[in-house]
Amino acid sequence: MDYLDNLEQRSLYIIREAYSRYRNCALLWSTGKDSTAMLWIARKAFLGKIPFPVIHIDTTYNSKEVYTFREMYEKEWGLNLIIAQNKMAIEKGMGPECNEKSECCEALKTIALKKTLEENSCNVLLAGIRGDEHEVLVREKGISRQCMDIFPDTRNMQATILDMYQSEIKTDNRLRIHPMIFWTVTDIWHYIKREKIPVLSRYFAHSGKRYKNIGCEPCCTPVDSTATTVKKIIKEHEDIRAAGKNGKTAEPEDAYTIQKLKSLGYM
Amino acid sequence: MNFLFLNQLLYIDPGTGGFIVGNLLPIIIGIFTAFFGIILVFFKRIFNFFKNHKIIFIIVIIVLLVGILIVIGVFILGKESDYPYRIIILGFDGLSPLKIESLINEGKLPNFAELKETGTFAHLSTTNPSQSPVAWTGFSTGQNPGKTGVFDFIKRDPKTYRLTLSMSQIHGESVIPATKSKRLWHYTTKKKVPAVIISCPVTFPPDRIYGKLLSGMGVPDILGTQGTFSFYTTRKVRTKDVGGNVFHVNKTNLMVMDLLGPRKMDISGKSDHTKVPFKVEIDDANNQKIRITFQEKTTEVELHKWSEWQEVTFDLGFLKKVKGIFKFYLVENDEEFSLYAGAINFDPREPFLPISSPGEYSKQLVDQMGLFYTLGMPMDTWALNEQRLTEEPFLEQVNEVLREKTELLEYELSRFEKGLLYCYFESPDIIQHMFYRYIDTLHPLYEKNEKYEKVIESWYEKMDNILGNVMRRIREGDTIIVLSDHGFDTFRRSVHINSWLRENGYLELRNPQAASGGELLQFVDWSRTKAYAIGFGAIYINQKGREKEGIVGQGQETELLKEEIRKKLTGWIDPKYGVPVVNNVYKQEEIFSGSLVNETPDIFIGFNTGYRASWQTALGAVPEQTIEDNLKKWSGDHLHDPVLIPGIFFSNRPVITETPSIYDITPSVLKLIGYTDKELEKFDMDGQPIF
Repeated sequence: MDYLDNLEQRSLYIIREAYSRYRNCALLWSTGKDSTAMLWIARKAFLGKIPFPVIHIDTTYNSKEVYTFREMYEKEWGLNLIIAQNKMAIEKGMGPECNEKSECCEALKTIALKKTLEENSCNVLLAGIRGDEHEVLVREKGISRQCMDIFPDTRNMQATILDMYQSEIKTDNRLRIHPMIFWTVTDIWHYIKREKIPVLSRYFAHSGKRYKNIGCEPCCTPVDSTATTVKKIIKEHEDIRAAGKNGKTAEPEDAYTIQKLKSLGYM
Repeated sequence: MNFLFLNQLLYIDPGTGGFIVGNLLPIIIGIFTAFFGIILVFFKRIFNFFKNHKIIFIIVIIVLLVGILIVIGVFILGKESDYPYRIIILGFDGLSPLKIESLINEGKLPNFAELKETGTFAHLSTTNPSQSPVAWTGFSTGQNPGKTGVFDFIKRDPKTYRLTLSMSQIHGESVIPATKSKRLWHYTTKKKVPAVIISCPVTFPPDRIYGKLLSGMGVPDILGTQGTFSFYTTRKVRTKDVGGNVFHVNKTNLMVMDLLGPRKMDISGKSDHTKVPFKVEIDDANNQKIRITFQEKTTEVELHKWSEWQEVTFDLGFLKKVKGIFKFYLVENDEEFSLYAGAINFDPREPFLPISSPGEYSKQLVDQMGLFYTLGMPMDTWALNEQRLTEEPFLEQVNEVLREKTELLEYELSRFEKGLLYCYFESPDIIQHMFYRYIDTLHPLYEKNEKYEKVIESWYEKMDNILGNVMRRIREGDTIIVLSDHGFDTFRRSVHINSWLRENGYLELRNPQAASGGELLQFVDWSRTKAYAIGFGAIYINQKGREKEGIVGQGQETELLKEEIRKKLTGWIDPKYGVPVVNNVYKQEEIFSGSLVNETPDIFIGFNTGYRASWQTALGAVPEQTIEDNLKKWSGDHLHDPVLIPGIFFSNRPVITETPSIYDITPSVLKLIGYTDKELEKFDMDGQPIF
């Protein structure tokens, strides 16, 4: 068994265990690499057919490619896809250009997600947060690396860490489960390469620039890169890691991560 | 640890045969005496012969000189290895890396945390299947089950469809080892590296080694079983338990009961148990204790307390005696009376069959630390499973076995100067098997209990303490390796593989209308059966020419059938929890290789966590349902797909891989003590040195 098998089996286990325990699960899929890898594992966990809904938060500000990709694989993988959208806010013209970014995120992501969870009676959310992203959480909130925590409904509430086996959902809380918590960004790319998982073309360099994350178009800026293949992306990440070890600053993904965490109700 | 239930079924009794203590000294003395006697008697003739045949005399002298030189050579070459350091291996059965990580994060395992921080921590790939005897044999040989022949708790003979245990077999005086493969201590012995091997599984009979070895899992009780308890009660309960015998008694102030000993054959060839009667005296005024008398000794047994060690001797006739030790536990003594007697262990001072190398080592240990459990799997898990004992006495017993083991390790560590020391702890496995129902809220037997839900965690802390004691004694150059043979998870649902095979048309019963078939595949219609299951996930194809009444052609027909079964099994979803029952299905050729591969199962099922082959399946039964809730206290397990439950690996040394395997440990140790890569290649191991 190699390293990736081990990670895959651990994630697989958590996803199955979550469903055994709480049938009212949903999986959060941004179409980004982490959540697509998680979706890939979830399909494996249930022999190709995921028995719970997959939620995509649609701010309407995503790139076109995201929508094509979403539709294509919704069909191919037979997903029960639910689009989470805060239509009211969108109609009112909420957007990153005319509002504070944090306000926009809150309205188009956090509120949209919470509403969708309520409407579909989902109490348990599978989110593709990685361990190395979670470092931000550890810094920000003092949350240790665990595969699940309670989704705080009130802003000031400290997320409660639960053991997989001993968890019970409290009435007002939702449970957030992190099947990818053991993974690093490099692990994800290695896995994508091994499993030949489809990813958005934005991750690869075009004219010397590529995107590292899939957020809303206006809030995402590409980085300088010549990585045109998964192999080259892996090399790039390994170089960054090596540079970090040599005392140079590693490239931060914090801004994106914080944005992502907001949509999960952490911030 | 799962095969105690086979005790009664596969009953092998050492007492029905004779037994000779393996001491060669008298034989050697005898031969020498005879030899010199002949020389003395025929001295004159020999002298005259050589006088007339001087060339022969010269040849004899040369032969003698060469012989002396060889002896000197062997002596010089055979001197103790100069490897100056100590390698300490702690084998913690069943410790899970996920649980350890989580407890380290909570700051509860300071010693594991320190080793992780300063050395190596990794998930350890285990054997497939991930059963303790298989895995520890894989550890000590560096070889997969296709080479060692230890691949499941239970094997079958295709020529008879009969089941046997895959542990060592006792046939009268001789014990046939479970594997012929060379073990770690064979290699240390060859290099004369002193080794101390404490209770490694599958070490009965004990190998003669350079150093000391105390046999572990596989040592039987005096009945030749893996532990049979006795339960004397006034309650109207069934008389046949899986792990023991139940005797009904009528409560009076003076009761006489029997301890069952090994079987003895009478002149007519009929064999029956030897018995030692004991007298129980009850004081009406005080129900807190009873007096028990047997073989001229009286002991007081207090209510809800384990007795001191009881010593008993069974007379087998022809001057043969078997000595055993055991403990009583007074379960209740009011209107109802129930007395429990644990399995009768070999007396380590005079074991009926040798349990250590050298033979007197077990006796020396008694001098040092008093009597101790010698049974390979000493914990009374079936007594708890069958509700003859409650959690409290069970826990007390497991604690006591752990105390003995810790004391033994402490003693050996205090005099351990160089070489290899291995010590095995079975209790984390046992504790997790029996107490998972207190931590898995989804287990059918889950109940909230603030005390017992902490037991598993506390055991991890106990193992951490043991590790701490060892770490404090480490000197520069020493190596610590800590490993478990597999992780652990919940066991919620029992899967009856034969029933699934029947439902899918691969197995037929002689009476097609029958709701179920009996144990040991006894009602199977072989003329219409393509595949059958025994053990904990093994499926055998009923192959023509291999099985007694095989119907499936070898080669392509078998291969197609294997593929078909694999496909169907992997698509099986349990309606209760909505998840797949099976994580992976392995074909023989994917997981086994080596000269014994033909004995291994054609298919091995890697169950999803929560699912396991049922006890009934292990014995070849065909119950009505295909899957049902596990309602036994044995609620945690590791007989799942090995990729889901890796073991742990810790060391104070860095390793060259992120994914060590249990097969890597022995070659790594051998490299440390001076074996070259070239030599290691010749040993046909499946692992690589990782240091």
